[in-house]
Amino acid sequence: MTSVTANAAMPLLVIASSLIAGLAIFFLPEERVRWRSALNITAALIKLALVAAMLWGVANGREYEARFALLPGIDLMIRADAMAMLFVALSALLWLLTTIYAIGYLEGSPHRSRFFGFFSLCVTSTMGIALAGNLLTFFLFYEMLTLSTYPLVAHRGTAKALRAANVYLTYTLAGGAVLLVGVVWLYSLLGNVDFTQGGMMRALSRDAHPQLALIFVLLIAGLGVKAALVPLHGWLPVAMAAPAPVSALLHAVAVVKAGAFGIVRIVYDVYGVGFAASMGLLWPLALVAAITMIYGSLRALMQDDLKRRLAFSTVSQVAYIVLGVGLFGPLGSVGGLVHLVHQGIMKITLFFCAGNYAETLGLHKVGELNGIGRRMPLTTAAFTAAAFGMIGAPPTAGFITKWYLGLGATEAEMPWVIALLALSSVLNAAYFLPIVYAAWFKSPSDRWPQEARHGRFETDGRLLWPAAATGVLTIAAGLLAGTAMSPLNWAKFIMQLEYLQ
Amino acid sequence: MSERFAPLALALTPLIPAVFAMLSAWRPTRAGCVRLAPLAFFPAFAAVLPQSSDVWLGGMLLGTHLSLDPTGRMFLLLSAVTWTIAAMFARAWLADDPSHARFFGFFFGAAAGNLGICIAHDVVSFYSLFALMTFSAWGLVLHRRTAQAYRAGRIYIALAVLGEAALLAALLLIAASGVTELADVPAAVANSSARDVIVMLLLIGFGVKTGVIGLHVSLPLAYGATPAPGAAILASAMIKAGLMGWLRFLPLGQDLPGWDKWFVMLGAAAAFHGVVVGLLQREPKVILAYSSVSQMGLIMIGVGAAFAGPGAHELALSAVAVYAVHHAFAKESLFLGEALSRVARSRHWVLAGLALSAAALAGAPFTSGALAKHMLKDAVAPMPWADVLSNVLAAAAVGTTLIMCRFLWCVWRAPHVTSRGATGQAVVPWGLSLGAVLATGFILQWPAVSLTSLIDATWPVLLGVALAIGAAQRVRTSLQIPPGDILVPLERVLIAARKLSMPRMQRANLFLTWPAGSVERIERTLRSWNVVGLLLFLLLGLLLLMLAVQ
Repeated sequence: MTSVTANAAMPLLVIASSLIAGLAIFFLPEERVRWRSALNITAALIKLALVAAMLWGVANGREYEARFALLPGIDLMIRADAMAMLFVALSALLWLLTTIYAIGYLEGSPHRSRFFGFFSLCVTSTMGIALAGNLLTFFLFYEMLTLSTYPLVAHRGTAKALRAANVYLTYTLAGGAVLLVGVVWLYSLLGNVDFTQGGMMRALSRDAHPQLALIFVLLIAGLGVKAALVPLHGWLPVAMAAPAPVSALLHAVAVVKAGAFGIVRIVYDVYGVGFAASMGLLWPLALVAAITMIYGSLRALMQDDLKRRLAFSTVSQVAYIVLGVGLFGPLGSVGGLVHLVHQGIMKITLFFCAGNYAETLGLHKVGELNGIGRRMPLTTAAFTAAAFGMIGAPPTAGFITKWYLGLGATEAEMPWVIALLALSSVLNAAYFLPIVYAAWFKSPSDRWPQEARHGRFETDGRLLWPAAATGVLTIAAGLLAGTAMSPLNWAKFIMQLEYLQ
Repeated sequence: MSERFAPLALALTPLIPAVFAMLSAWRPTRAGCVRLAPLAFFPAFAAVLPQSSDVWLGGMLLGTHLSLDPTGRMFLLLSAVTWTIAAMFARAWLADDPSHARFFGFFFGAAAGNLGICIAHDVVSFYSLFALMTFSAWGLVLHRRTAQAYRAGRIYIALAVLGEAALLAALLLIAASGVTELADVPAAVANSSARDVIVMLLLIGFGVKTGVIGLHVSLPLAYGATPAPGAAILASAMIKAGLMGWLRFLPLGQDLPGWDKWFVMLGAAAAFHGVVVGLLQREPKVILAYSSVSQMGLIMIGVGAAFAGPGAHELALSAVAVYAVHHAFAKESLFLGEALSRVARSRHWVLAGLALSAAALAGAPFTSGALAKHMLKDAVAPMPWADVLSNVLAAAAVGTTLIMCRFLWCVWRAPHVTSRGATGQAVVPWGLSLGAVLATGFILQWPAVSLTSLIDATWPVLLGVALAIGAAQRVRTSLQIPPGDILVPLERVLIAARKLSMPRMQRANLFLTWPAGSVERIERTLRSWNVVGLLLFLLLGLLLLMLAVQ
């Protein structure tokens, strides 16, 4: 039945830290700003400390696992393995930064208790997704994420926001339904679907293979909605109507990441990468990713709204993760997996910066950013670092991803992927460099649309420092990729486990 | 001392300029950075001197390895000298420019990359530092923020991104064989199944820097738009970074059939194209840019010779290295002198100095150019059509003389504004660069003087000068080719194509607006409830199917 030891308590506490904070915030009166902020930050810090401890433990071979029987023979399972920790560490760190950012961003606006309540729930679900030890647990938290994100997208209550939330729900619920079919079908075949390194399909007879292929398609299609794979990506650009911290959550911390992470789990820990490759399931995945990469970039080129451009860029960038999964071989897998982290820190930087431009000076369009570098140098520096990261220029995090994907392409005998990566670099440069160039070198207009003064820095410190921090991380993750605790090394550590099976 | 400090000097060579670049962006340290600018290159000099040493930084990038081999030492010396002189000149030249700190920020960034690639010994570090240099130099091109600078910047970055992408693809194909160290790269390329693709990608990727014909179009625009010290360093050290890339990555001496001919032909084409188009220019800096296209073409012939096979390639490599040093010093001196000539009080002296550098570039006897050309001639001797090639080289020497005469003439005729406070201080670095040109000539020349080599060096220069004088008196042409030559019609075609494909669209949002509408519609359809309903219906069908299977 229930087994909770000290090691089992750790992952549960990680989930509970934001759950409890979230519930408490719901009951906090709107005007208790200090209490709410203190609660938010404390919870985020506690979570980060717990995650750090667990990261150390997992690196040293400790196991953290908790099981609860849901039905006879069907367990809810929470477990922190190396793969889970990659996502948990990313989300915990970015949650802290996004919380600080959101406190500054929403200052003085209504319904903040509701916002931060759902915000915490959203992160709770993400932690659950990351730490889920079997497919059912994963699915439950995955749907919980859908529901807890809806009020955040709708938060502003404008017609545009409501429509965005509606589209979001349409897509994700439909995706969830498809996913459910796949999950149920798989359970009916296997009885129990625990995430196992190397997968658990080899035990099945060959007769089941056609079914397994069909289930694979269902699972990927269901997860592909959140991961914004073309043609299931339509909700993402619409959802940019949400406030900037929510965009950060959607694009970097939680939602698209949950979809991509789900695909990673399905391929590596349910099917097993070797098995999936032998069934010929990986190359179609790589192809879909390739189409998504190029399509997303082309659409990003067409956008004049900064956040919309960033949204299409996410469509393109998350496909890198899926591409890495689709490249059979440890190098490609490392590239895909490490991009889970890299894409997160780079994209959150860009959305923080876009939010800063909008909040501080009322700038929303790409064409309005002329000369912004002089007015907001630190924000623009962070934006520049992340933009170069997206292009994949060294020494940023994006380069490390591209390098491993490229090496993986040869390993998987798909050399066309190298051409694709080069093309993607060029396209990313085509829609990011004009912004960078206009920001630093064009002359600013005489007056900004809506200038708000914020203390002694270029903008409110709570908006500025998170952006600066993730900007620094973007460079550090690339420049110091060879160090022991870099995302790259962690991804290598995971892949060692997956391919040894 | 050298034993212990050599690794430190090696590590600091790119690091100190990088730190300077960052400090130039910060208000409190800005002025200090500019004042101490030349000191940023001290570690590079310190690293050139001692015996070889290795630095391994496992945590940096994918494991960084810094080291100094003979090729690297040559290029590091070349870069350290030219960057120091450019820094001194920039400090004086831009003293009145309110945004000179920004110039120095990009200047140091490019310097860190350029000095770094001389000592980088692993593929990823080389690529990273090369990219740092390329993107930082964009800031130098844009510095003046005029319409001319914006256009030059656009062309520069478009080609640079193309080059970086080609390079990334090439390096990925190389690294796929498990190679990480630069020393193992040429052999890996030679044995790779994608050998020809890799060589072509390297030709393009580094060719954007060296100005391979067709990719050379950004050079005249960039040199014209960049402030003098920036143009000087672009034309001297940074253009050599592309050459350095070829020397590091190409399988030279491995006997690659076909590629030697391609390099020689492309080089020869650039050598003549540069001369012909350069002669039709009026702006002195643009003339110098075309001269660079031409000179890099000659160097490319040397690189082609190095393909020829083992044995011959040693000779070709030393010729290429000497030519690179010679061209870097002479070109920097020409760019700095040209700038000074516009403001100096005693122009005659500046013109005399320019004439000296020009003579060196043309290969007059007792100059570095004479030896460089001589060595190049020896290098091509074992090649299949050596006779033709030696005639090509001689003709190119005549062409260089002509283009230098044209340059001096245009400098002489250029508008002149005396009195500028900073001129006095700018004379010193220019003098140093002139000294570097002369010193290289003397140091390299002593063992090589012979009567035949004297004659070989003399006649093309004399012929060139005679032709120039004759032409100045007789030839009057209104023919002009705009800077960037083939780029100009290309730009027109692009603009016309854009107009044709979307007649009524707003100009502000030109890029791909036409397909946007229809794609938008498709996406909206996908978002509608009907599609979702259909999806659910299909799902139900699947469920039934699943039950049937069970």
